[in-house]
Order: sequence, then C-alpha cells, then structure tokens
Amino acid sequence: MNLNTLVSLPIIAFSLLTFIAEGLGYGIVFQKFRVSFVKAEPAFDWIGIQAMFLSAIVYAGSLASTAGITLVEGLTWLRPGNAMAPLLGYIFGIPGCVGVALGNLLADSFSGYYSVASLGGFVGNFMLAYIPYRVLSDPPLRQAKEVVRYSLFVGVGSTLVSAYVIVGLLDLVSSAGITYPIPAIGGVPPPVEVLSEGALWGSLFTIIATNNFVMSFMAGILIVVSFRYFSEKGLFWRDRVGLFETKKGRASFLASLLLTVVLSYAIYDLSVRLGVYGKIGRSEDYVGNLLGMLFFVVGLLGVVSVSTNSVKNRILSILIGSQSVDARALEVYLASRRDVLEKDTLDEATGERLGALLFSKVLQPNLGRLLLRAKVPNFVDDYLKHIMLHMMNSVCHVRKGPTSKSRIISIEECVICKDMSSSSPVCGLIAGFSKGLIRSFAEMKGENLAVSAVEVECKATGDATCKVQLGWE
Amino acid sequence: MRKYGMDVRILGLLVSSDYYTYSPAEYAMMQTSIGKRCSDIIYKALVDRGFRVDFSATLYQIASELVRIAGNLMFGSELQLSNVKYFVDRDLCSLRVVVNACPICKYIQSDHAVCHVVSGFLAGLVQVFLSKFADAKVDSVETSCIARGDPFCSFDTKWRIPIGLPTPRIQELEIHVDERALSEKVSEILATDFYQKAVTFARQRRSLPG
Repeated sequence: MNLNTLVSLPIIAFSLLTFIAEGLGYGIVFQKFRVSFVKAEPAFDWIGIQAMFLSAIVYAGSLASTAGITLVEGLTWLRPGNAMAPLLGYIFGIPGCVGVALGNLLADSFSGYYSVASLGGFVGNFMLAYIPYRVLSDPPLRQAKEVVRYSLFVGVGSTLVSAYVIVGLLDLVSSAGITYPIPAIGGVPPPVEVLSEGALWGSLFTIIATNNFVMSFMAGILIVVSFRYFSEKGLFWRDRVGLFETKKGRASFLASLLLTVVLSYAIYDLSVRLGVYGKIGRSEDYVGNLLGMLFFVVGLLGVVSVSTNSVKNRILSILIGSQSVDARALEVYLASRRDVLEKDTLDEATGERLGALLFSKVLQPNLGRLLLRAKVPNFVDDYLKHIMLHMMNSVCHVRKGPTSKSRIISIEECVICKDMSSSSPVCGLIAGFSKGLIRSFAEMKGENLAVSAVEVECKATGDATCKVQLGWE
Repeated sequence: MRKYGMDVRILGLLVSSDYYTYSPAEYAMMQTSIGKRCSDIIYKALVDRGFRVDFSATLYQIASELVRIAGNLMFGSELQLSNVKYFVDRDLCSLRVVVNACPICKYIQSDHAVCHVVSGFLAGLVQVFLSKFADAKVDSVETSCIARGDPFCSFDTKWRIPIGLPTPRIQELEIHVDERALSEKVSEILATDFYQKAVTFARQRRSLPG
C-alpha cells in the first residue's frame, strides 16, 4: 500500500459518510476541530426529487456527449461536462449533488465505462458537487475573498477529494483482486483493463485532477452567469426551505436513488446483450454521441420547463391556494358590501390596502427571500396572475404596456363585475389591489415608486375583458 | 385546481382593509350589515337548493345545524364552529358559538372585538330562520375576539322566545352534532348549484334593509 492509498483512506471514509449522512437527512457541521452531525432541513420535497432527476439527466448527457474522447480505456475520458457538477450542487443543494452522482453512473453505463470504478465515480462526483454547495454563499462569488475561498476549496479541494476517492477506491478493489467486469445477466461483458498501482496514481489520478481543476473554474463562471436566472425562478434550494411538504420525501428519495441505480445497470446489461457496450457514445459512433447530446438537451429542457414559473406557481398555490372556500362566497360578500356602501368611491383605496396587507401579512413573511431576488417587472409578469387566481379567483394575463415600466392586466374572468352592467368601470377594487401589491413589493426592495393602476376597460361597460393599466416610475 | 376554490384569507384581508379604512363606528355598522345581507342570501339559496327542514328535529336543533352549515358555506371550513351551545334564561334564548380559528380577524390587532361580519351573519341567519315560525328580534354580540388577544372568538346570538313558540325543553337544547353527517350534508349542498343560486340572489339584491 503506497502513501497515496493511505492518504485516500480517510478521504474515502469521510466522503462515504457525508453521502450517507446527507442522504439520511443529517448535515455535517465543522466547529474548530470537531465534526458533528445535525438534523438538516428536509431537502427532498417534490421539487427536490425533480431536481435530482433533472440533474442526473443533464449531468449524464453533458458527460456522455464527449465520451468518445477516451483518455484511459474503460475508466475515463475528456469530461468538460464536469463543469456542471458544482453548478447543479450549488443551485439544487443535496438533490443536485445526488443527481450529479447518479448522472455519472448513467454516463458510465451508457458510454461503456461501467465497472467497479463507477462506485468511486459515484461518490467522487457527489463530492465534486457537494463541496461547492457547502462553500459558496448567497449570492455566489461576489467578493474577492469568496473567489479565493472557491479556488481553494473547489478548484483545489474538491478536485483532489474527487480524484482521491475515485482512484483510491479503484486501487482498493483492485488490491482485493476484484478486477473482473460487472457481471451482465444476458451476455459476457468485455474485460476491464487493469492498471498497475503506479498507473492508477500516476496517469489516471493526474487526468482526473487536471480535468476537474480546469472545469471547476468553468463552473465558477457558469454559477455567476446563471445564478440570477435560477434564483428568480424559485429553483435555488435555499429559497424553498420549509415551503413544501417533505413528509414522504425521504422514501421518495431512496426509491428514486434505487430506481436510477437499477436503470444504470439495465442500460449496461442491455448494451452488453446487444453487443454495443463500449461502442455507443464513442467518437467512431456519431449516432451514439448524438444520443448523449440528446440526453443533455432533454435534461436542459426539463430544467427550463420546471423553472418557467411552475415552481413559483406551486409555491404560491401552497401559500395562498388553500381553496378553503368557494370563490363565489366572495361574490356574495362583495355584492353585500356594494349594497351597504351604495357607492364604490372607496373601492380603490380598499383594494390598495388589501394588496398591501396581502403582501405584508402573507407573501413577504413566507417568500421574502425569493421576492428579494425579483425586480418589479418580474414580480408583475411572474407573480401577479397567480395571486389574482388564488386570492380573487380571477383569471388574468399580463402583457407589455405602452412603456417598459407599464403592463396591461387583462382579466378574462373577473370576480368583481361578473354579470354586472354599468356605464363606467366598476373594478376599482382589482385596480387598487394590483397597485397596493406592487407598491408594497417596491417598498420591500427599498424603492420608492409612484405606482398607478387605472381600469381602462370593464366587462360591466360592455368590453370583452376588464383591463387595468399598471404603471410605475 | 378546483374551479371555484379560493383562499378564505382574502375575506379576512378585505375585512381588515375595511377596518383600517373606516372609523370604528362606521366599520362596525358596515360589517354587521354586510354579515346580515350575506346570511340572507345564503339562507335563501340554501332553502332554494339544499336545506330541508327535518321534521323529526326540533326548531332549536335545526337552528344550530343551520348555523354550522351556512357558516361553512360563507366562511369556509377554516371557520371552525367548534362549540355551539344553547343557554336559556326564562324567555331569553341564547345560542353561543365559539370559533377557534377565525379567518376574519386573523390580520387585525385591536383593543375591541372586530368580527362584526360574523356576528351580523349569525344574527341575520337565526332571524331569517325564526321568521318562518314567528316574529323574533335577534341580536348577536361578539363576546371574545382573537384580534384583541382572546384565545378564541365567541358570539352570543340572543332572542326573546316569541309568543306562540314553546320554551325549549332541556333535551332539545342539548346539541349532538354528528360532524360526519354535517360534512356529508355540506358536500351534498356543494354538489348542487347552490353557489350559483346564491350569486344570482346576491346580484338581484339592491337596497335591502341592513
């Protein structure tokens, strides 16, 4: 056993322990020279599970698409896709880290690198995503101090940890005499190239470390460039902590983990049976390479579809979508209110106060972190229609207005004026509500905006939809 | 998503925005009137669609059941009418309703009771029901309110037992409400076009007495 193997032992033990602890819902805390495990916030809500699968597909695809450029036959290849690992870990948290580990396993089985070394690849890639997840702050890489820390812990640290885990585990299993390929049920897999200890710690270690070192800096750029997009879409893991039901999350996580491991074996077994193992995804087989890229594209499309407001809508539906009463009770209340007031001169003021109260009492306390990331136009474009739907049962669309600081809210089903007829617009409550919401949002951001909301068309006066023109300066 | 599902907190927020817009006296008067009008509409729609008098039950049992059903339909399942009891002192009958989780005053902090819309609703409901049998003047007062720091909201809805109606016997005042049966009844009503009817009535109403 050489010195490198000895050094790798505690690193392997620590990495395995970290994976198991995080998978079981415990976080590792470092205090001076003490390491302890504490119960972590549940990470596997339904978005966490989706994030894990999407990370696995994106990562597998990004790796598989360059699988043709083999560096050590049966063990590793040029992997620019490694740059995705820190990004996925940092943005999606633990689900992203596990997704990266699973993605590596899928890429191995798809591209013909599936062997006992895949276990090291699984844990090593997990650490490649996990260390940036732990090290980076929010927002990431804005200060020189953090860039230095990133370079140290991710550029050097996670690169070395990953390489030590992958090569160390391979060295250990090789030393134990396990040099045969993973058995396939339906065929005989090709033999695995056995490297000497010197080759393992020499060329293989250097290739992995060098590749990951370079890619960690690419990853830093990716994180800085994409953080705003992901966080505005509600995908940054920290912004969702505690918002979703995680009761069955652990069971779903374990089932998903098992399912993906089985899937990776099934891909391996099938490709051995069909005699294409080690051939697809290689540069000689361009169709296989395209399949790898397709993997990547499907994953990316998945991330985009999840991020396109569906997360925010889901968050809002949990927060304000209890549906505890039929919306028509509101119509009964509003009709009675109109009877009592006999005039609606104060409707706009009441609506404005209503919007402000909803924001300050319900939205801000629960969604403060997420809302702070949005700007006024994002808030209007992304949130308003969901709020109107859940709180007012009014279906509306938000379109660009005559200026960049204005929007037209078209309300197709308006709870206020449904089946009413009037000579002038009557939905002052809705206009005021929008105004109050936007003004409160801007105040939270520390912006003192002059907000206007005027109902320019109303169904009650015979128009096809109610339209509120919203503007801010 | 349920087609007509809505978060009941919007009602609470509406009420609280009125609370902060109008003077206390104006607010109290306005909310009580709104509550009475709402109860009138809900009762009318209930009679029209779902609510049938069970002749094996007494008038008092029906009144308490009505309060629970109508309260659920107007303020949603979050308005937990957990405790409904009768108290009788000579000819003065009182229906006491305790609400453990009140969505109406959730967003108000005050030094006085603020759920006038609920007390108006209860008074209006009992009055419109009793008017089928005899003339009775019904008043409702909120005796404790979460908004002013009490652990629950409670309402006393009182009326003098009208001449012509018997004073209730003690066993008639003991309310045994089967929550499951009640929830089934509410579901049955929801399956009809009850709300559509309620909305139609709401839109027909103009200038009715508050």
